Amino acid sequence: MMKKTDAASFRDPSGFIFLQGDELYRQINDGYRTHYDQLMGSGLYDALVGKGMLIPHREVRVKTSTPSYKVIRPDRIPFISYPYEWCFGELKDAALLTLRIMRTSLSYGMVLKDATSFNVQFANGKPVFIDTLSFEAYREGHPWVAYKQFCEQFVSPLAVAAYTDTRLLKMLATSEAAIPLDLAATLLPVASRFNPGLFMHIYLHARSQKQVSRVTTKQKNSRSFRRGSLLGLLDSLESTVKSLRLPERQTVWSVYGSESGVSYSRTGLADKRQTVARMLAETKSCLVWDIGANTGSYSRLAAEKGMFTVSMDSDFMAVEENYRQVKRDGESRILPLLIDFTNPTPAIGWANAEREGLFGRPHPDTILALALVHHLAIANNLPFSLLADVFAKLTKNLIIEFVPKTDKMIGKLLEAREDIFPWYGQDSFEREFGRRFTIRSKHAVQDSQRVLYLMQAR
Amino acid sequence: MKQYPMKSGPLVVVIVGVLLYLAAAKPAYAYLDPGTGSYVFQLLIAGLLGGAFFLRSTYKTIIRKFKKDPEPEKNDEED
Repeated sequence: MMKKTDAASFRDPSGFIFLQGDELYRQINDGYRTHYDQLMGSGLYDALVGKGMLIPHREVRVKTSTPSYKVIRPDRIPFISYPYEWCFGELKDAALLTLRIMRTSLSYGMVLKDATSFNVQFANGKPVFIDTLSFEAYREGHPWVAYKQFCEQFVSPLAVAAYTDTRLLKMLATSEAAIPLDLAATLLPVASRFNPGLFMHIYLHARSQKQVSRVTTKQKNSRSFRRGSLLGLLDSLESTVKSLRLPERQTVWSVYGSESGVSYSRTGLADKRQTVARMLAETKSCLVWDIGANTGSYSRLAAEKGMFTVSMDSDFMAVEENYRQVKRDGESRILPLLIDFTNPTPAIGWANAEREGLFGRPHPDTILALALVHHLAIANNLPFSLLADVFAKLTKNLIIEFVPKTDKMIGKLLEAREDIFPWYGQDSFEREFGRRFTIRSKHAVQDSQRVLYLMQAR
Repeated sequence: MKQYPMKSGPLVVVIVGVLLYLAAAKPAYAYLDPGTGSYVFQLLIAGLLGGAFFLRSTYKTIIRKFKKDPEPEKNDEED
């Protein structure tokens, strides 16, 4: 059977991820033997998996094309996402998870040899560490090799989001999820220097990079970084990360979500929810994408039916609120992501293939496009034909809500601009979408002029 | 001068062999570049961090001793 090495798995000589058919495996090379054995034998693996912090795996017998020690098959993540698609809360929890794992590992005589945010994924509504080969035996006296990486991938972005502007989190997409220390120092306002953790781990740390220093052999063997210092470092990083919080302010969309009385009456809202639930049940989906999900109230209709739902919105407070609710409810089937569907996550990294773009990931069985089409068509000047094309390429089932021009929201969108959309109407909507989809059913929402459609790609 | 019995020879070889094996199979395989500056920076702040950690764990021990009903450990992973 065809073996294919994962496009992102090439840096670590300890091993790599490969696909064979539909299965995902991790090959462990001989040089990693003692570390792997310590991970499994010391009780660290059981401790971490028991707390849901590390992805579980099974050892398997699979023939490898290069010499190997063992092959393991880790559990699968329902939907891969990247740190630049996470809201503030998700990135913060991923950071705290990494530190907790470091601390637990230390009590079993191990440390993490890297601290990239790509080592974390989300499953069951919680962050989970997926790089089983990141553990190595702790050598007393040595500083943490991953300290700089942790600061650039976690502390910098979180600090910049908290103190400067959360929208800067999106720039992580072009910088492979890291903000260099000196850049963070430039972006951060003066007030951030009064945060002692940031002062040490960003400012002073950035200054230390400029030292043209050569680490002498004497310094390398100095063993002056005792265990107590390492634990102190982890404590300091943890309290620094915990101290970073979003400036709470209501954005346009999260207000909209809670003021649904604006667009629907109470009857209308109940009718919409009932109809969407019915349409979802008809699709019998496993994977749903809820586009423009706001705080995910319709995503929850899908999740209730056992459908794993990626709940996307371009508004960071809406996604943040969605994630907070996921945590409060212990929701395991919703993944809130910060994604602008008009400019979805691109493929980045080596050969533009290392980190998949949004459309390269598993396509959904159903797309929910509720209260969305007018934002795409009018706010973003997208003709119906282009919308229909993209939706048809992505999914089999489409639950979409048509919003007529007489709607209050469209009135708002056209307030300050010329109406260059003479083509926008229900007839042309049905015609253009009808080219790529069969309209299985439609339902006019009560007390509203909006119409819900259930469509199936031809 | 004490004579060492010849019989311990093979045992020494085995022990040394095992030690060499353990030493050889345990390279760090840390592929990440820690950054020279960050490495030295940690050494510089080592004393400060160690001191802070010592104070914090001492404080926690004292608090624990004074509490009749011990609080559930939040940081049970701490060394």
